[in-house]
Amino acid sequence: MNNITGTIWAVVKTTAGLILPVSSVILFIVLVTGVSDAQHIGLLASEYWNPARGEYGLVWLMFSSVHIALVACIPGLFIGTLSAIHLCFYAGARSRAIGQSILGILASIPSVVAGLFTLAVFTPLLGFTALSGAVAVFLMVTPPYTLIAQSVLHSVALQPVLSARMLGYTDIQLLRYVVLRAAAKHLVSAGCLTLARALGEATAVSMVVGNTLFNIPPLLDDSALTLAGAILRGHKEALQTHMDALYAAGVILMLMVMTLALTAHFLFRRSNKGERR
Amino acid sequence: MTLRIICATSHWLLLVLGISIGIFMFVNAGDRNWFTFIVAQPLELGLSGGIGPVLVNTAIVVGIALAISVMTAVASITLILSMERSASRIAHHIAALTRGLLSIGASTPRLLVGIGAATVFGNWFGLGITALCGILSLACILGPIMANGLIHALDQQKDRLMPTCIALGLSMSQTWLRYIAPAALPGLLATSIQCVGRGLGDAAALYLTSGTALAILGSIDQPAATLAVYAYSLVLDVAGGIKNAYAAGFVLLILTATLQTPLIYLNKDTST
Repeated sequence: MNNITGTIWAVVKTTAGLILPVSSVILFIVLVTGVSDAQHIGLLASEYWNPARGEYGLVWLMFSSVHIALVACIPGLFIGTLSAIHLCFYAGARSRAIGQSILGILASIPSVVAGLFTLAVFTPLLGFTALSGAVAVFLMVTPPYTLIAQSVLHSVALQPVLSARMLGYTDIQLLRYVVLRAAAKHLVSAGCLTLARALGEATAVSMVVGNTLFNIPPLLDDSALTLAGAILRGHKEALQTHMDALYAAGVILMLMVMTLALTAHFLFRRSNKGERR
Repeated sequence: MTLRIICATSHWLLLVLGISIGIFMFVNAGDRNWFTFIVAQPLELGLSGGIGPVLVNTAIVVGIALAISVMTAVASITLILSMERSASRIAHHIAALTRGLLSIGASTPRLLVGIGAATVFGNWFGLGITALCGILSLACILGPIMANGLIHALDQQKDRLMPTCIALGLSMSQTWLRYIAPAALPGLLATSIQCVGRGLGDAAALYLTSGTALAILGSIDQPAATLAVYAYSLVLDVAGGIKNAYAAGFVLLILTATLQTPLIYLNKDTST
């Protein structure tokens, strides 16, 4: 009797335990099988995205996604790293506590709120353009990156910095030869994850970029449409071919995000191994 | 000295931006009776009236999704830990694979989980755009995040306490139940609070799965908008809804900031 109960318990435990990992696999299978008809794939190579006219070119949507993510992430990572250096090495205890608390709240703001703020403050100046989208993404990705960078600097670079200070390094030498060398791989790993998050951001971006592609290639001061924005705005009214194109957009987005996430994971593991040696 | 100034300027720029988000949301929400806004029914597709039913819907959807994700996350962790303790090599591989898949699940954009959930639960299982479909999709988003956070919290304490407990001759179950799990409690609580915040703020997945209906939920097979979805659809789907969207956004911001406050203290506790 005990054996039967034990077996049932083991089966229940294993099944329940596998629900979450299996759901991740199912998601990817759904996206891939969603691109159901091979002949539609040809349509995806079209230059324009205009579902009303049967044009489903994803190239410029990919371009817009990467474009907006990079324009947001380059200043975001720069400012975030400097802010993290300030928090870690220069700020007093009280200032650090206040700064971390505000950054913690900022890091958790919902995308809708970031989108609304951009809509109120930046869209009147910049219009419904890719640049407004980049500002919204900047707001979403910089605070979490700053907190991660601060924790990286605290755990990796604090000890070498103390030693270098004793040796009389100047601030710039300290940053260049000690801090960035000790934490570079961790920071690049965090940067990859930040870029992945920026690529996947849909809500805030779709509120401020206009969601149309007028000019090709779309520049910073043109309205834009990202892969994530096309899925979010088009999913409700999409029919067969349009839906296939949205699934294809999902697969491309997933592959881009996964590549960045795996790169981050690989860099993190390598730098950890290096530290152990 | 110059570097210090540049770093401090970057830092204060971020903080000022953060503070100005709250101020601008409040100012743009307009002069209104906040109590009435929070409890009243939405009128004219949400253009006027309040957000009472939307708040109730949010609590129901996020609450049930959180309960499901806690259960599935605990089941996953139990599986991983039992596999890692087993002598079998295959079991170790399964544990590593499960960990990897959970990490992938946690880093997948919410929108993609939404489109996957809309297809599986909405189309294949026939749930359509309903609160139940939204709850399940939110559980798929929060589950891996919860499981990853819990594993991280337990791993940290395991590395710290396990050698001492083994040296003292304690059994595995004693070590886990009496020492590691209680020590990991702040981390577990922090992950749960973080998940509530994510659930409250999610609009992308729920917009595709749970719908934008503003009436209070009678049963979970009806569509229901959460607060984030309500604010999002007011901006993009309803002409002239921007004022109420700012007010809803401000309430959302206050809710997430309130949730974040205990997290600050919990993080302090775990870092000391």
